[in-house]
Amino acid sequence: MNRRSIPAMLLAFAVPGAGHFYLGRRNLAVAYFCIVVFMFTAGIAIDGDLYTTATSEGASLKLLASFGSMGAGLLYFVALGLHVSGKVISATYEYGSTFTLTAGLMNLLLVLDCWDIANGRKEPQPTDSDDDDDDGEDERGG
Amino acid sequence: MTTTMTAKTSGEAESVRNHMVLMFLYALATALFFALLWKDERRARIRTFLVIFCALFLGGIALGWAMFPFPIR
Repeated sequence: MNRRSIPAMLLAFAVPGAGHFYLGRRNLAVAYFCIVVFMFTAGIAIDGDLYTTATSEGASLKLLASFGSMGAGLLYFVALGLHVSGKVISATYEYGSTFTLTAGLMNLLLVLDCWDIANGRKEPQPTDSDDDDDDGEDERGG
Repeated sequence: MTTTMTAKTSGEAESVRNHMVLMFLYALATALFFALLWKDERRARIRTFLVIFCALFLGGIALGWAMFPFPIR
């Protein structure tokens, strides 16, 4: 395991794209940040709700959705701290909740992607100018 | 089948709450995300983006029409 794996994953979890930025994929980092933040804020803006363990009432799928939404990292916890809640009577309530859930799941994928990149399981991107300094060798830590 | 639903807040129609628009935005963001995540080359990314976007957006419309004969009562 590469020693950069854990910091990259923690950064990726906290802020969308931060892990990729730490690993040198800066253009992608900005793109991922924009996409995930857009999804999350759009979901809140259209009266969507956050899935939380408190409101899941033991329902398995809602509990899973809670953990999925938590994948958005600081976005989720800041929204939780601000007591963001959706409007059930709104026509876009379900849509908004889906947007926020998707943002969380996307960020979880980014966390896993950071692990792959840090451990050399992904080829350096030829189009990324920040990879010009890479020596092209896989880093396969133990 | 209701293809558009517009929520009226304070008497004003908000186009962003149109379900078709929201479905479009969702498909756009998801397709872009996975195209960037899964592919490295520009052409591959564009192709992946188009496939995923069409599957989500057009597929959603198609599914809606497929369910048209079976309304919820």
